[in-house]
Amino acid sequence: MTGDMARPGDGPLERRYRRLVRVYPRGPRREELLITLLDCAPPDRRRPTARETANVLRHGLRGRLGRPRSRAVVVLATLAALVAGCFGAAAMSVLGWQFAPSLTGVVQAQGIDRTVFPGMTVEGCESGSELTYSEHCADMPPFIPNPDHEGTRYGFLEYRVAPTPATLDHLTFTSGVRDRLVADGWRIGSGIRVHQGLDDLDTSVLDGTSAPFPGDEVETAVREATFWATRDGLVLEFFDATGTDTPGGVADPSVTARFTVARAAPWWLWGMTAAGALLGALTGWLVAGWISRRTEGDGVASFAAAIPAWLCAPLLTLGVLPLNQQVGRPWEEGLFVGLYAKLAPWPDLGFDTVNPVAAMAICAISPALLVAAAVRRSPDGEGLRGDHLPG
Amino acid sequence: MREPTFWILTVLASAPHHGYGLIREAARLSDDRVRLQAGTLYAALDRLGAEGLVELDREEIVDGRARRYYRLTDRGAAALDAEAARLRANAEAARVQLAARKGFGPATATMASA
Repeated sequence: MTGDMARPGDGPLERRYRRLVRVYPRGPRREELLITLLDCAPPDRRRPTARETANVLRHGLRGRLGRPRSRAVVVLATLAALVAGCFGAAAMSVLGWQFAPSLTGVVQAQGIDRTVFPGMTVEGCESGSELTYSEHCADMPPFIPNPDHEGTRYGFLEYRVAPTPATLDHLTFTSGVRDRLVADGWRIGSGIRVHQGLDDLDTSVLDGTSAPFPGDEVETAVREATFWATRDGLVLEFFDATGTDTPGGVADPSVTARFTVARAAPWWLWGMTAAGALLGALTGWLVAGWISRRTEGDGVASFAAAIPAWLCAPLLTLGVLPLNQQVGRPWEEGLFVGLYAKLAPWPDLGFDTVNPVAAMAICAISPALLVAAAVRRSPDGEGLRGDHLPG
Repeated sequence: MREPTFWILTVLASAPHHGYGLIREAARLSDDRVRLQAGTLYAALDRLGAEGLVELDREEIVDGRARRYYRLTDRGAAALDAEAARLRANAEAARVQLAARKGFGPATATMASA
């Protein structure tokens, strides 16, 4: 007897209760709970109340874990849900980014280059400029390595002009660019920040992918003003630098005004990512519950299944959270870059083919899955939820 | 001991009950102050079963549906007895403290102890 399927004579309330109790693991408890819910319901009730639904969901999900006295299993299942949720979000977001609008031709079609640098000769991928980071226009991927090969950022196109007296007055010129962009419908994301005396070749600082280490900056004559803005699914970053990398050195043509354009996450990508997170979290919880119930009552199997998971848990929990710092750029980029980093290789740290976080997750879950699959299962683990009455 | 646990053990102290009977009896004994939710009830029964305080008594088929009755074990009775003693001691401490307070004074204390 499973009691899982709706029966022809069931009323609407019983059908709804029957669907609700499926949150519990298969077994006689579902039918028992169904009968109790029906007995408690007043005659005019047509659907479960919100309180009943929340109560059954809460205890049913807990019931999926078995081991009613254990708090450790709840902690482990929560961590499993967190880890699987992050991987689910990462998988769906990386899939979604493949369908994000292309950057190709956007800057010239929208006249962004003419707004930022009016009347100036702008070099970009369309002109094949070797001075810009994005030398080729077509097929800019959603994520690319940082110019200094440390970490990852959104794929972007870069445009620049040769230094002029106007651009060398970096604060005035940057303020003008900001005002023109606002007039053209851009929303400014940050106030104008000024980097003073940092080595502009340290792109992890100037491109905003990390914070400068106090006392570790290379003092130069470079002064750079920067801000970012968004419009219609695009993120624009503007930089205007003056000076040279070497105090007293000759003028450096690479120290000038430039801007980059990257994609912002479309609204539907947020939905896909949230759905992936929920689906992953639910899967993680259910798999943890399945392993727990399979090994319940078998001390050796429980130990063998739980120990690798506990050993990996602290580092894995820290490693799986998408907490990438993106100084000076929208926080959303840190989130999506962080999710991408849960699946992509880390060549800058020597992981050319395997993602270390994903590898650690596999190491944590594989022994438990193997043990759970191999163990001979006792009927539901304990007497009250089992099929057997005491003799 | 949490409130639902206390009332489940209290209801089962006199006789075995099935789930709905437990909920109804807990409400009656508590003057409707306790309305156990079905999910909470069975989670508590699972935990109490794992602790050896309650156990399955029998299963009856009524109108084609299986009703499972639960009973208190000797360990469960001892745990309930200890909890009742603890609550009595708590109540007595509160009563003595209130007796020393103006307005709740000796008359109340005298009546209670009479």
